[in-house]
Amino acid sequence: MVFGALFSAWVLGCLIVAHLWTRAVRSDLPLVLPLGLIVGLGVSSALFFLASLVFARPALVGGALEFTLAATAMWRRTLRRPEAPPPPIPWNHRMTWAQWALATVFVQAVVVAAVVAWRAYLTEPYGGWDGWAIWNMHARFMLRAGPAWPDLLAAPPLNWTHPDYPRLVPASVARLWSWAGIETPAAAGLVSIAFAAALVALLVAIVARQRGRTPALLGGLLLLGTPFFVTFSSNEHADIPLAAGMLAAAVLVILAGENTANRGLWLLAGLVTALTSWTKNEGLLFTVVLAALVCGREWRTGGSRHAGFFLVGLAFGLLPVGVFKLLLAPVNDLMAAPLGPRLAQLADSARHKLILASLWRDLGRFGEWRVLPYLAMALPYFSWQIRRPLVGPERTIPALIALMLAGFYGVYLLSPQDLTWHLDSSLVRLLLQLWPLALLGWSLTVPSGDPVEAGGPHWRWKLPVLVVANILTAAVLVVALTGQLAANEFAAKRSGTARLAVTLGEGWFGIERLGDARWAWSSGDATLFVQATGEGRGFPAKLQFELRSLAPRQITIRAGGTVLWSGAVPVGATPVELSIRKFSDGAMRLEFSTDAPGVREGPGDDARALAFALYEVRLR
Amino acid sequence: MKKGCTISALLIALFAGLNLADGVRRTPPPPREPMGRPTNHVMRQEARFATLRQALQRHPVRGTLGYLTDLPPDQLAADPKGKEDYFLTQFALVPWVLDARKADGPWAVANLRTAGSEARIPAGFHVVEDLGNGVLLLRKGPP
Repeated sequence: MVFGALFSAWVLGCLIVAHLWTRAVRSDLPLVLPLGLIVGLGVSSALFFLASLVFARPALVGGALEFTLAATAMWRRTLRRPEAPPPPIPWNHRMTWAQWALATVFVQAVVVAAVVAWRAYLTEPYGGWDGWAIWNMHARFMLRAGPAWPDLLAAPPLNWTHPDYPRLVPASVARLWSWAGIETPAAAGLVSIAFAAALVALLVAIVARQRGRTPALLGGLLLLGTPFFVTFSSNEHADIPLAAGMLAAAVLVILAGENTANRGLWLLAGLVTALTSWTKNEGLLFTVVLAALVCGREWRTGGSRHAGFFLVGLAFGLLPVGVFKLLLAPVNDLMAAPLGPRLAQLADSARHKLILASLWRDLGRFGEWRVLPYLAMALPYFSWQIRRPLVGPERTIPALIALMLAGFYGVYLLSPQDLTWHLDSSLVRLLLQLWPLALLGWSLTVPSGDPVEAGGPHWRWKLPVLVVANILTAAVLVVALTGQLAANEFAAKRSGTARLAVTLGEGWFGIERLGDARWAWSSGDATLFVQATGEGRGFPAKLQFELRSLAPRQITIRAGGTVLWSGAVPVGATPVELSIRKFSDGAMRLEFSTDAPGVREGPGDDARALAFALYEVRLR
Repeated sequence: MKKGCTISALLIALFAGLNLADGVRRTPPPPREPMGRPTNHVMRQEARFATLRQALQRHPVRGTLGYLTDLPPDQLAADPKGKEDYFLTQFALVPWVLDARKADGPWAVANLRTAGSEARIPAGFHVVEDLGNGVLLLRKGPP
């Protein structure tokens, strides 16, 4: 049912987009589908939110409103005159072998990114800190408290959960829970991943539409090659949904500006822009900036009617934001502090320096890249004259990014919070929000080589090479992904379908890693498990490891009351080998006990008291 | 210039692969817990407070509840672990609102991790239900 609820929101969004799409939908389907997902989740969350203010079971009323809206959009679409085809695509030739190669790399990147996102979800089913402490917490209040949720959430003891934050993500999650009748964390993960998937698909689709396949695939690869984006995509924060909304708004402004008869697209652009304000407070800044840029440009170029349609869509989309912000939400913590002392911060040169230094630092690390992509992105621009200049409303993109950065700069300058903490806890996420827009700008301007027609004699040997290379890559990926140890596993051994694994129990500080080396320090007595799964179970086995300690001590290892090993462990490494015989209940518990307390690892208050450590753990 | 574009495309594909590979390395499969216990701290707190939630539903508990833990309220605010535990408890017990700063209402929740913390139960409160693992439902008034 969770999938059903998500699917129905998607259908609703597609119908709304198709209704306002002023050209043939079929040929623009790669754009309509991701836009439909973003719009559908936004609109359905707003309807659920409004219903939740009145009804204890808002799913029914919200669902009825959704159905009515979907039926109306479908009916009105049938009344429309035949649509004009979209502008011709100049690059629409057959794919070259190089494009095929790039496309297969892209598909493999999508698969690996999906595995990483899935693992990140399984590790933190309710998301990271903001995921559970803000967004899922708000969703629970919306679902569990009935129409009283705004009052409860505004209670002073809950100020730490930022009850003024907009409601798109919480309402979407609460809607899925409500439809499913169960509060599964999968709903929150699904909403998060849906926005990330829509974002990638939309970026590739719009660049493919405007520039061709090669820049589109490169833009998509740059986004998927941003590890922070991939691991964050299932982390249930609102930053990726906001990034998706901002990209969608920019895309719609570009498409609407292509010709003069795009009333519906301007309405849609306004609506989607407003949805960013419904997602996160940064969306309010984005809404003001984009509205100013659109209105300024359209009035300057004689398109004030277009700006009018944009503003109508914007006003419609801002309705739930207004209801929430003006009638229900407490004052934002950044706005609640007195303005006088904060204005004095504008002249504080130390704050300017700190913000600029943090920006410089985080521009290089926000993506959590192992290899920075900037040099590769800059290479094609070495011959500046052959870049593709931005045309028409595409010029909005750099201005949009610059003004958003300026807005963030101003907010940090005026922030009543400790500035270092504020920057460290938020700047990388703000940069991630703008990253898809930056990639859109890059993909639209990057020079691309002349396309080479597909076919011809070269395909005879290139095709098998491409197929073999893909099969080999896929095989390597499968082996690498399936052979990887779990986060709490020290070592594993496979024998047929049987798998033995060594995992940490209680009393450890967690597994530490450096390169391929893994070790764990204990705080005192501790437990270790040997788990067996699959047929045959791989017995008997030898468990080998080194014991290390910061001070001489006696260590005893028992299993079910039987002493397996006991000995003096001096400072340095002591090799240990244990025989693991077949056990019946799936896991064997090894209990480590020591006769001496831990030794502090350093002088600081945070220093751990370390008893002994396991190194070089192997199963043979 | 076509050469520059080709090199750029190859580098982007290569860098994306390297970055994704690093992402895979840093995102291992989720922990496998041998005893079936949740490995995620949010899920563990959910399981720990599930019986208290049921108890709150059984009793006519309304409004804001006091929150008692091993640390006094003024120390709790400065203790990151204690604060996280408080936030996690609040997450588990929505829609009841927990107030760590005062316990002047009729009901309170105790989340005790260390032995001997029972001494922190304020005068005038009694234990309505001891739900194990240091989780108690308290009520003001005589037992």
